[in-house]
Amino acid sequence: MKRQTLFVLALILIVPVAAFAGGAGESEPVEDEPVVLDMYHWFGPEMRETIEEINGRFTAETGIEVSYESAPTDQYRNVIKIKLASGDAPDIFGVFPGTEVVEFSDAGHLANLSGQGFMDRVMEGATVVTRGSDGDVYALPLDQNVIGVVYNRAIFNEVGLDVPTSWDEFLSACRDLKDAGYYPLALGNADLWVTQLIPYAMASIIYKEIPNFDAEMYAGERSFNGPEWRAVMEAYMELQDREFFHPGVLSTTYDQTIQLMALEQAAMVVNGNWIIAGIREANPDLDLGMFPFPSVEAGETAWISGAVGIAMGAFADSENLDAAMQYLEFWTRPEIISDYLMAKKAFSTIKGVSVDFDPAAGEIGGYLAETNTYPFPDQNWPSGVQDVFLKGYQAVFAGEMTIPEMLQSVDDEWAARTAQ
Amino acid sequence: MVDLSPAPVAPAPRATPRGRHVAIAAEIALLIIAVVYFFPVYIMLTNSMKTPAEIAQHPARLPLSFVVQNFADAWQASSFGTAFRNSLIVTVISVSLLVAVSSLASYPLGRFQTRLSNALYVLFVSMLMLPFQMAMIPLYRMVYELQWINTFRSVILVFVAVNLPFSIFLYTGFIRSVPEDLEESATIEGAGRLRIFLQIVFPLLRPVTSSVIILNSLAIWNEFLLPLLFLQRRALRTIPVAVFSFQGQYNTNWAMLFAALVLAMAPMVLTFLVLQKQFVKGITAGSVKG
Amino acid sequence: MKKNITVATLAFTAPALIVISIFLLYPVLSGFYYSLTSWNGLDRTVEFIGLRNYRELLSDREVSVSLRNTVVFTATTTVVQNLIALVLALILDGRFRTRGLVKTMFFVPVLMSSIVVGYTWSFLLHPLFGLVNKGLSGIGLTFLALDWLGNPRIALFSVAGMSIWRWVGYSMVIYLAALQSVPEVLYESADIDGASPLRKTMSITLPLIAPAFTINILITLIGAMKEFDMIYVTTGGGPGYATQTLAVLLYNQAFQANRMGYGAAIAVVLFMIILTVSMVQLRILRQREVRL
Repeated sequence: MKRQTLFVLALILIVPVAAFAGGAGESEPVEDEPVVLDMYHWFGPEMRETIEEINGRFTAETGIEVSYESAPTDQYRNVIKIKLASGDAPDIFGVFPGTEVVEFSDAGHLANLSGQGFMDRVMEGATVVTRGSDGDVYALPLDQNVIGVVYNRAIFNEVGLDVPTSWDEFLSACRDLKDAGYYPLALGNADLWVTQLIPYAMASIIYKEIPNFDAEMYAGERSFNGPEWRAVMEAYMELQDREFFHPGVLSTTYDQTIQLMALEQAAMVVNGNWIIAGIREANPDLDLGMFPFPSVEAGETAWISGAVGIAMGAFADSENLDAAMQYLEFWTRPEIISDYLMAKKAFSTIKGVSVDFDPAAGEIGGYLAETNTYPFPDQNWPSGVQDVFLKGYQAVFAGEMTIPEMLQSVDDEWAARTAQ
Repeated sequence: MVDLSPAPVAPAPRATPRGRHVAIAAEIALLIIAVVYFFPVYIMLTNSMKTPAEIAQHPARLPLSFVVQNFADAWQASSFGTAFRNSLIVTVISVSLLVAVSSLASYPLGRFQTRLSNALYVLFVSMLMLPFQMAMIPLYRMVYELQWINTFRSVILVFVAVNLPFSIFLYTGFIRSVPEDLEESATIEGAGRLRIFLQIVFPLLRPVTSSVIILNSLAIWNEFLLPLLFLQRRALRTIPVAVFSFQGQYNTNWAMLFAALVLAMAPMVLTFLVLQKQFVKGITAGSVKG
Repeated sequence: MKKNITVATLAFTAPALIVISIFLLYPVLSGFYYSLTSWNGLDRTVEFIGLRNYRELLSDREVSVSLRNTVVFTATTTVVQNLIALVLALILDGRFRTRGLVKTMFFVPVLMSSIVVGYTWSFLLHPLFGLVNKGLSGIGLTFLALDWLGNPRIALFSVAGMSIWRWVGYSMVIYLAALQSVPEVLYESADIDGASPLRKTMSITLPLIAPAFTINILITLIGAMKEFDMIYVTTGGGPGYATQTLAVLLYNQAFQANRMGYGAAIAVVLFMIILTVSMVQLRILRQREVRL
């Protein structure tokens, strides 16, 4: 009993002291120390080495140190908002291209990059989704991805198929693959973000005819519940109704689509070029290719849905704003960005830089040179709209909503969000 | 596996031969159910020892080669040693504080039937029902303004606050069931309240104390969001944060992630196996007598 | 004497009160304040809009769907989990050679993290790869081989099933300990009266373990109403809105759709609901305990 009493006393007295003493002074700035840039991003673990290597080279050149931390995408999205809202902003941080750049810059968190000389090195098209509501650039786009059809060449050869270049050819290829006992397309609609990829790849139909569709949405001249998006949704559901997907698309995750491709049960998957790396890891022996989703009539060229995947900005009120600008400039140098793109397995946003990171991606890269691209549509929508869209795709697949009901619910959200 | 389950409290009634057959059949049936029940754990364990390609191709099979490499890689990539140390520091200090603070607070709440003590009890217990997401932003703002980001004390104090209501709930329930006789005689001898609590009451609370220790250790050891918010520096990461850093932007190495998750779980499972008896008693003591 | 007690009460509870006020009560009250604003979680200025969020909430279809899902999820997990746990505990309370082993096997899931449980189960339940459907077809129950997480009519119950799977061991252990504290003498006298095993269970065992019911049901109720991780990891609230509960909706609104104020309003409502349900449940069960 005595010992326990002592134990409790010790707890009550010692532990708080220890808790408060520990770690005191850890974050006290000391004078004469080199400038340290705080950097926070959602880069995956596979990128850590490359980022730290690039940061090392930056320090060697400028003497400015970079303290880099990262969090998984979902968590990053929350933590960065909480940090900004609390005044604990990193000097350099990742921004999701599109709407978020607008919201972050409107809230005054992002430094304006428009006057910076290094922005001349960036492809004009890539900055469309890193501009604020005033039209100035607020984030540096680091890489681009495209959505397309990743396919298994061996299966295509076995069934005797060529790369389809029109919607009819695509449907007949799907039928042939199905007859040969394969699932023509893998689809991981259990993951919300995957549900939008086929419509985005198809939206070529819309943006080729009406390049200003989103602007006209904002002007109130268009609605989602109109012929354009209905056509996209009907084509999406046609693939489902003709059973060109495997059973259970709503309980299949992105990882499981990789599995279906790796096991050669599925012949194609519509996704971003990043999926190639995932499939290769699960089955290194596959012969993969990638072509643009051919949602066009015969003889026409499909546009490719391509967009900036990762962007990076500087905190507007950073005490180290000059150093932060130097750092962003460093990233636009060809030798730096090439190393990054090679590791990231993504396409370039810097003029004159192209990297050959995967033969399958190279195939669609060839098309990129010949055709137009348009951004992932959601990147220009008010926040909240995409969420309703994503839920809506699932609801239509589940038979809980009809196509007009679903598109109407998106219109309603759009109206509510733009009214605020 | 060490079986330290408590012996039956009293001998069961003598079984008839027919009764014994039924009992054996029931035991076998339950064992089969338990094995089926356990199957997902088996899947997790075996998949942590496969290569990504093997997981894709033969998810349910025993691993072909027992890739211990996954564990080595996971250990390396998550700086598991450091993370383990951080988790241990945070868990031990938080739980110690919780025991001290909540047992103290529960003593008057369980002993005195005054309006004040009842009101305080209701206040504490209603905190149990708060959805924590609501407090996140103001909490971060406060911790930041205190300049406590990247210090252990921030997570520790928040952990204590968040887990106090349940601990107080357990302690108070238990204290109400402890007879007052010993304390009364001590009062007559003129001992002060704090001394009575420390010398007489607290030792009597041992079962519920172990319950508080175990439940809070489990919750704090596995907590992800708070350490992610407050311990951003890599060197300060706790195990769950270190492990989740394996999740890639698009592609996740599940083999390594599973290995890391097994590693993260291992200390708790080992503790459970070794202390099974106290563990079970602890969980139940406070609750049953509540 | 009375004053003495008041002083003692305050002195003993002071550390807890201080910590809770600073690190829980204050942030929560600030959260309550945000529910009266249109704050998006980003702007440096916060606009006060009174009860507008709450008014919007009343007519929001997503809120009513999420509320219904919360009720179904909570009712399912609370009833099924306690039922299974109680039956297991009653069986295990008998003479059992392998009790320790069985108990461990049922308890290990409690020690696992949501992401492992979620990932493993999504994988087991998948209509193509999943071993559950392969197993069901194997024993001729093909009609039961459903799209567990993809069918909006079943998905909520599948997620509830995972949650139950994870926590049954916990409830079971509490029931088991309560059972083992029932004095053997009572059973012996019932034997003398010639009572059947069923009758003994109904009139001796169950009434005597009433406190275990109270605590178990309270823990499952609160846990289920607050459950976020498991749903978020497995279905993210989908397909469509089929598994979206209030806890998931509040997260989506606050952090995905950048409507911090609205999310806070949902949180306040969720808190009120949990508080009311728990208090009512506690009152009813405690009264029963007393009467028994």
